[in-house]
Amino acid sequence: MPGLGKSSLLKNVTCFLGDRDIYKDGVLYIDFLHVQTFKESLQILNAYLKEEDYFYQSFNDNQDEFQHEIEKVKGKIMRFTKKFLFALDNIDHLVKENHE
Amino acid sequence: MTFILEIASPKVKVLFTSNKFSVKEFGESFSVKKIQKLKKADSVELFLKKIPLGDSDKKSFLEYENIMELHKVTVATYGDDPEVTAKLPALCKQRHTHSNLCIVNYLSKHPIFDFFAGIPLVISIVAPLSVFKSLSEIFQYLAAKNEGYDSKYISSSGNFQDDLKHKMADESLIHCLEYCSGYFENKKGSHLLALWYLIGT
Repeated sequence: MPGLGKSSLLKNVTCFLGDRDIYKDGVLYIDFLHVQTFKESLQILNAYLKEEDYFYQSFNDNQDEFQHEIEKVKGKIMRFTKKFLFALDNIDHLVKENHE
Repeated sequence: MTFILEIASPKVKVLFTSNKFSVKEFGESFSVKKIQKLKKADSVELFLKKIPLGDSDKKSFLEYENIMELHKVTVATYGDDPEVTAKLPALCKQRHTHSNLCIVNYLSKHPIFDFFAGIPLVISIVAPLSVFKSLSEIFQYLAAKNEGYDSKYISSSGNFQDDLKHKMADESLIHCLEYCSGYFENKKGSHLLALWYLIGT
């Protein structure tokens, strides 16, 4: 049900935790409201987590490249050695896509 | 979901929001918090808080005469059906200076809060209408838009409160957004709507 305050709650909780420096590696909030596919969301995650990745290129839909991209994002996330928080808002499309 | 499960670890926590819930998808791996709709008393409290008026204007907006006017309009709207009228809230009959409590007690049983269906965003969007409209005008405005299926719905089931709530639960957000966007676009321009929306959220 839209309008119940899920996003407000998430934003408030994220700010609360961010302000108190509980997650030493950082806090990342991304709103996926207008993101329709998992591929797009991976590209966004990659862009946010970019570490001097000047040669980054968009990937194709074939399974190998897709898997490679997933591993790349995971690899970037693995580098967090203290504590890191992802706040992912409105992931409805991604859940739906997963169902299908 | 698999991806989220894979990236989550003791060092990487993931918080996310979604309108969709599937036991199969979420299983026991996720801690799911479902946000409930507001109870009517809480809806009234939020509505009163979201009225963007100064103290004195707010006091005038919520004068008991305005509640009496709202009652009159409500009876006129639903008065044809005695069964429905019987379920409408009663005005405070005590001979005292009516306090905020009398107003909250009345409003928390009023059908206007069935239109809102306990959805905070809807309440936050409608409450700013108090700048231009009285309580009875807001009620008339919302009731008129629902007239088509209200009367049909009430006469067919006879359970006004529950059925209206059920009906509005599915459509209230879209309807209210439509009313407000139509109202603001006609009267004040869409930039103002965007501003109200921002305040509301």
